[in-house]
Amino acid sequence: MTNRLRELRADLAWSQSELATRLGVSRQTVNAIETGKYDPSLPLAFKIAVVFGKPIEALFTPED
Amino acid sequence: MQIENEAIPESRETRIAQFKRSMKANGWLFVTTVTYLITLYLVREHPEWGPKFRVGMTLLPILPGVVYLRMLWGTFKSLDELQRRIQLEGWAFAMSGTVIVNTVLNVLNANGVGFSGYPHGLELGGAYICILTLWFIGVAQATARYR
Repeated sequence: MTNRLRELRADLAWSQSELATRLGVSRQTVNAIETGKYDPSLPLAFKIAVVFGKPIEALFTPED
Repeated sequence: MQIENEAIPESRETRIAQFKRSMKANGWLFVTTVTYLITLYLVREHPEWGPKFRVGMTLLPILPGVVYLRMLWGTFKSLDELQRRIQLEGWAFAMSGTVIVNTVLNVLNANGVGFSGYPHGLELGGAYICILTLWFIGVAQATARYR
């Protein structure tokens, strides 16, 4: 699964730590999601969508 | 602004909170160990004690041990989902590895080519040491995978 987390975070000028705090996870988790090493759970994916104010499909795209 | 992928340590407050939680849990592990050593000594030194009292004394270290396990469980529940996955992968690695090591030792012993130091497999103490060692390796592997 690919995601646009890094791009959207950069648009808002947030650090990984800042996003992690907003999501209630560790910075390592944000980093792992951004680098595609870890796919978040559905609740966390929805939380990310809420934080960025976008629908979940605008953030995550399944890989074929 | 932090957009790149360099390793940034967690905040100081987070690390201090983690350290305090870890020290509290380790304190109970210390209490468990000391209680075990004291009861071991007392039970050996007092063969005149009745069987019920000896059983009670021998099982006494389980009480602080349960408190320690509860703290560990609380710590586990407070972790975020990636950290929980790393811990679970570490435990899965440790458990499956220990089963393999123990099975290999038992099969070797059954065929008469066992190690003289482990005539009955790992036994309890050996299993704990094996689980702990493999848990460290498993957690390190999982942490590196998600870094």
